[in-house]
Amino acid sequence: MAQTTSTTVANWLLTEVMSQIALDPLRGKYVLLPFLNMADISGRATKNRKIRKKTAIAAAVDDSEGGDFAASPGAVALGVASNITITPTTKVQGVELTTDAIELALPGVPRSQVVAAIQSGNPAALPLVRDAMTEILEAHYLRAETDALALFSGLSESASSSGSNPTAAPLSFAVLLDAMLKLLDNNPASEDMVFVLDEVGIADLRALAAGGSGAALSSIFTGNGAADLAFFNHRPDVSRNGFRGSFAGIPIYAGNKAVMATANTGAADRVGALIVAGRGETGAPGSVRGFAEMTERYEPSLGFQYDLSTDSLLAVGRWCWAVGEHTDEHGVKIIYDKT
Amino acid sequence: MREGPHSAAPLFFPSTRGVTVKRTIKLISIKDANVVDFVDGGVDREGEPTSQRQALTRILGKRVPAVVDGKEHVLPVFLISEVGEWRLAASERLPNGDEFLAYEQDVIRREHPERMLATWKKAQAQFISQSTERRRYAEHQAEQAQSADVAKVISQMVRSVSQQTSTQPQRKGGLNV
Repeated sequence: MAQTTSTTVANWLLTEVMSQIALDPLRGKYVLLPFLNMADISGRATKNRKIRKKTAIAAAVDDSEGGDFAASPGAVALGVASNITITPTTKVQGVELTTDAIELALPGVPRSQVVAAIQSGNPAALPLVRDAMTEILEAHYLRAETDALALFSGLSESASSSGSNPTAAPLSFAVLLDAMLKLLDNNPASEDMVFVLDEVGIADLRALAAGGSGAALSSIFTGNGAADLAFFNHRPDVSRNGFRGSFAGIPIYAGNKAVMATANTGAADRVGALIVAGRGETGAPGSVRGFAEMTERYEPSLGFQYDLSTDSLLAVGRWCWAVGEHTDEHGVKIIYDKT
Repeated sequence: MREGPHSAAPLFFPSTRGVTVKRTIKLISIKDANVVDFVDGGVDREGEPTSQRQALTRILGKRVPAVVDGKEHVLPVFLISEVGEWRLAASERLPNGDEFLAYEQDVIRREHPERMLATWKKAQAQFISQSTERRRYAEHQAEQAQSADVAKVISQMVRSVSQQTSTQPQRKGGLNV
């Protein structure tokens, strides 16, 4: 009898879990986060992360016999041009689960047992808490992606648009080429670059490649297949990292427009960018220095508490981090019509 | 504030730790004519700048060398064009501590002397015209390449049509049209 009961409960639970997966909220895409360097200052005696930016020294000069090199032309001090300070701050998000909701998620378990499990921190209550924590972690990722995308607006260089300013025009290949020119002209530390645009920007490019009516550069895509048409082909993006193909060998990613910055009158334009992709921990062997980093001061701390007065479970997740720009030279913003 | 205890669905509640109010700052750049929106998150409950405020401070600190009227200047890349109103959730209120106000005064409402603004505007015009020139040149080159490509395609089409015409046998008695 006991076996039958447990099987029934398990079946209910499985159905519940399956329906939850089907009805899970639609997730935002995290397109830029994978291209940020990472740093961790947990346990250090400072709340700030300071990076010293040094000035570059000049080229070596001819040595002359008997001449004092240090006097003329003079040894150059390895000066500090500026400091970058990134101060992680605590972000918080929480979910309040009513006991009714918890009870519904655990069919067959008496309410008293549900409350007792939560109050005593019994692992039986963990599956539901885990669901809550997943939501909270998503909330942090979404904020980090938003903060990172917002950095685009603050890039000094801007790819030139052909629109009558200050309202930018639809995206064109000329703008992408201008962005490449400006970024490569800065002699970036790495030439591993990515375009981060939104779906409207991708659609603009596809329209140019397909139609080509009056579109500068479009004819190169219709000649003997010599040009890079990868962005034109849709691919099932199971990983949902936003990869849409490449232009001139540079990967193009489409971000989530809901968290991308806007520009100009009536927020009519979208702010994308061509950036140098960062990989790995900043400065670590084998890592690649990108345009920005995510600095963590302490890891996510997750906790929950039963509130007797409201008969609900409060699940709270705190995480101390910040997203900061490394170098202005590692990005060029691309502004275009957002509709 | 937290919602009532008997709602059916799990509820999200606003942060009770720090200030979550925001406003949009519009920034003008020296290198282009776009006006970008930037979110200012203000300071938190301890008076520390939020990470969004840190980013804004950093952006406002960016400088660029520019030659105006034969003189070298180091000018700010971004200036504030408009400061939006604070947006608050129903349960939130603005902090009113002196430190908060002082910080706002320093970072957000930074005044620029008129002479510097005049130089800045001139430098902006220079940067924009250089950029536009270069884009026009790129577009011109692209159009030339395009028309050359089109001419090539047309000449190929003409050649293939003329070949077809010359090799096609004429049918006796048929209409030669």
